[in-house]
Parts: sequence; structure tokens; C-alpha cells
Amino acid sequence: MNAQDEHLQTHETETPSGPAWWIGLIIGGGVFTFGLIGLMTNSSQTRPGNMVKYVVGGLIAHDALVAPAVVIVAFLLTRLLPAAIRGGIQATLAVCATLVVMSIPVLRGDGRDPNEPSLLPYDYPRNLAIVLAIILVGGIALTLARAARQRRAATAD
Amino acid sequence: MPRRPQPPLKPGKDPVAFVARRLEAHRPPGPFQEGAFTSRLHDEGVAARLGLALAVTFFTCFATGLISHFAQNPLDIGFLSTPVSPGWLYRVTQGTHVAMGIASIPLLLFKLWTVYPLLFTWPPAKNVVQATERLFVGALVALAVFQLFSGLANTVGWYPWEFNFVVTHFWASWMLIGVLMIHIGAKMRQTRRALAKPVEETEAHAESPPAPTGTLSRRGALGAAAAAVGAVTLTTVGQTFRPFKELAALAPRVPGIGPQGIPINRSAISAGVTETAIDAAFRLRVTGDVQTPLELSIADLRAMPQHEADLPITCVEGWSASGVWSGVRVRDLLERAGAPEGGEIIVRSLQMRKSFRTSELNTIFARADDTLLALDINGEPLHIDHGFPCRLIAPNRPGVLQTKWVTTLEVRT
Repeated sequence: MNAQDEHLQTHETETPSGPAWWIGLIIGGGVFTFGLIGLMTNSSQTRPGNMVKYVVGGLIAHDALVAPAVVIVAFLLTRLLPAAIRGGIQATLAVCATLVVMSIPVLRGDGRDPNEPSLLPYDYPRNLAIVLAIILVGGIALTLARAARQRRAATAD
Repeated sequence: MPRRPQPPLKPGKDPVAFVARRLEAHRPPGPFQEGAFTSRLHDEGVAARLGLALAVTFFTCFATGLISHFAQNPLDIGFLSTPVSPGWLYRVTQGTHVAMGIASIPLLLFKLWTVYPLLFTWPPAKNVVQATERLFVGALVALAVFQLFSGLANTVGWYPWEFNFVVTHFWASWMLIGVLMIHIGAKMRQTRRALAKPVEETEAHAESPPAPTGTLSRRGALGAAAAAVGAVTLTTVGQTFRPFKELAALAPRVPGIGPQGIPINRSAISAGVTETAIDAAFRLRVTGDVQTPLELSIADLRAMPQHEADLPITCVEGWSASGVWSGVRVRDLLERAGAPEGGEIIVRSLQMRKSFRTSELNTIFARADDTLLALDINGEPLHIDHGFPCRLIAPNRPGVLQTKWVTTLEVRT
């Protein structure tokens, strides 16, 4: 176990205590319960049985698909890329990945309606490709520039 | 099978602790193993800073969401009533609501990645307090993902679910803010400790090696999160913030694109008014508790004193666009009909679809200078998709309540 993981273990095993925990639990629990009651008493509109599929589905989608995928990609990049540029490339790809996630609804275009041309007016796959290209080029350029600067600093020493 | 030595355990006061002690000896393989996650970025200094940013965006979304809720479902309790001025207020609060929600997407993704190893803590909880806290963390993550996903999908009119978005998003927001308060209380001490130190020095152990050259530092990870927030914001915020319009490559609606340069949410075809709206027999009726019920043609409306108002159409979906509207003051119509002071007005549309076919104007809004039945926008008669022959336009009001194709003003006292 390296020091970092040991550190994580220690702060995870911290059991909440003290006034902040109890105040948060009482007030937050009350607010949560208020929302839950509102949700259940308006069940003809909120359809809790259907909603819970999306609530649990989102959790599973993140914890079982998105996060493991990121861990695997990050691991592969650690193996494949030279150390000097690894961090910069990882950061660049992380920015791109979040943009792709945010763009899923406009890329799918489910709301598109020929009667309402002002909704989703653009060619979003094309626009996203352009934005990603700009970020990739910028991120790679910054990463290489930093690596070169560090190499020069190292040889100057 | 060799007999395992029985641990000297009895289910005591805390059943979770009892189970946890038994589970300790049965650590599952894979991510549950100690040292399975090696990145230096799974760190409380990074988590605390991202958590703080998320607290700001989530509480801002909650507050601006409440403003929008009460603008659509008025309380009419003195100071809690939606004010009639400034006219741009709702544009700012709702634009902020959507922009903060979008900014939360990268923040949440980065934050969840930072704390992901904690999902595999073994045993999952050591006592009943920890078990409670972790269950609420599960609810927090699930509700946060749900709110951001449902809100984002709503901005593009994507409804894969069966529930009513507005009502469900509203009640789920209370649940989310509740579990967020619990989480903040639980992590208060740890967060303060982490924030008190510079981000690169939050290791518990001094012998932890410094980051090798080129690998992503903690500061670099926070920088990447900030860059991601910048990227999602710059490519969408132009939907409401006009100076960034040209950058809004990923926004679902853009000011300037739409009939007469203004986007629309519901076209005349969708509303089923393509014939009724252009019918020469169209009359605007002012009815209800009035001395003289009115039936006015378009020519009658144009013959009345015309007023101009520079007001935005602000949609709950986060876009907004301004125009100079002109037409008849609702106040003038009420006076002409002899409506009593203090009544409220039900504004009815020609549209066939039920949702938002009517809206209400309370006394203050109905009598405001800028509350018009608009006939023109930017000097041209309204496009049919903007509500020809006449539409309601009032300050500081959600777009769904700016009723189009208005046919009746009903006064109620």
C-alpha cells in the first residue's frame, strides 16, 4: 500500500461526528423528507416508479460504466505515453470527454421538430468535432511546449 | 474444510460494526484490494476544492430554481411575490440556473472520479453512523446525476421518461439539497482541514514522493476541471449571454436564429393555430368582472395608444433574446373595459395544446407600464410563430407565461 492509498483509507474510515454532522443530518434530513413527501404526494405527475429507474440508472451508468472506462483509459495512457507529456494529454482528453458527455442531448437531437426550426439549429456533430479539434490542438501544443521547457531546464542544470 | 477460528463477536449495540468486523477477513478482489488505485489525484485536497465549487453551483441552481418555480406558481405573499422590475431579472436568474447546471457537469464528473476509490472501501461501513452517511452519499450522487441529466435533456426537448419534468425536477431538487446538507455536515471538518493546506501538500505522509515530471499534478487536475467548466460554458452560454453568441456552437437555441431573429419554443403549427390566428374574424375579448365587455379587432387594437417595451423572451430552458415590442398596454384595455382595481387577469390563447394555454397576471403585473399586448416586434407585425395577431409580453416573467395568440383577457376579482 503506498502512502496515498493509506491516506485515503484513513480519511474514509473517519466516522462523521460533532455538531456539524448532527445539524446537517437534522436539517438536511428534514429538507430531503420534505422533497420525498412532495414527490410521493404528486405521484401522478412525478411517476416515482419511472423516476427511480432514471435515478438508479444514472448512478449505475456513472459508477459501473463511465468511471471504470476513465480508470482504464487513464491506466492505458500511463503505460503508453512518455511521462513528460502524460499529464497534459490526460488533462486535454478529460476536458474533451466532459464536453462529449454534455453534448449527448444535442448530438442525439431527439427534440428536433421540423415545425420548430429554431430548436437545435446547428449541425452539432460537426460543431463538436471542431471544438474538440481546437481543444486537442491547443492541449497538445501546451503539453509539448511544457515538456520542451522542462527538458531545456534539465539540460541547462 | 479447515475450521476458521471463530472471532469472539457478539451482535452488540451496533449491528453494522458487528457485520463489518466479520467482513474484514473477506476482502473481495480487484478494486477492493488495498493499493488498487494509485493516482495521486484521488485526494482530499482536490475533492474538497471540487466539492466547494459544486456546493456553490448546486445551491445557486436551487435558489434560482425556486425563483423560477415561484414565478410560475406565484405565492402572492408580499415580499415573496415576483417583482415586476427589473424586467431583466428572470433572464439573469434563469440564465444562471442553466449555466450553473451545465458547469456542474464537469465539476461533478471530476469530483466523482476523485473519490471513486472510496466506493470500494472494505468493509463498506464500520458502524451505523458511517453506514447512514454512505447511504446518503449514494443518494446524493444518484440525485445529482439525475438532476443534471434531466435538466440538460429538458433544454433540448428530449423526454425519454414518463414523468412530468417540471414537477419532478422541483421535488427532486429538495431531496438533492437535503442530502447535500447532510454531506456538507459530515465532511465539514475534513474539508476545512484540506482547504487550509495548499493543494500539493495534502498528503498525510511526508515521505510520499513528489509528482514525477510531466504527470498530472493535483493543481493540474484542478486546472483541467476549470478548463472543462470553461469549455462547456463558452460553447453554450451564448444562448442567453449575447456577447458570446458566436461561440455558442453547442447551444440548443441561439439568439438571432428564429423568426424575426428570436427563437421560439412552440410554433404556430405545433400549437394548432395556423388558421385561427389569421382568421379575419379574430377578436380580442376582455371579459369577466368588467363593466363593459370588449370585443376588439386588430384594427381596434392598433387604433388605441401604442407603447413600446424593450423586453427579453426568457425561456426556462435557459435561452433568452431581447426585442422591442410594441402594442397596447394591458392596463389601458382594463380601464376601457371598466375592470375594478385589484382583480387578476387570466390570459387565454387560441392554442389547442393544453400546457401553457393560459397564464395569470396579478394586479401588479397587469397594471405595469411595460405589460403589453404586443402587435409588433422591432417595428414589424409579429410573425405567426411569435403569437400573431397579439401576444402578452411582460417584464421579469418566464417565457412560457408570455402567452401567444391571445384571444381573451378574463378579469377575476
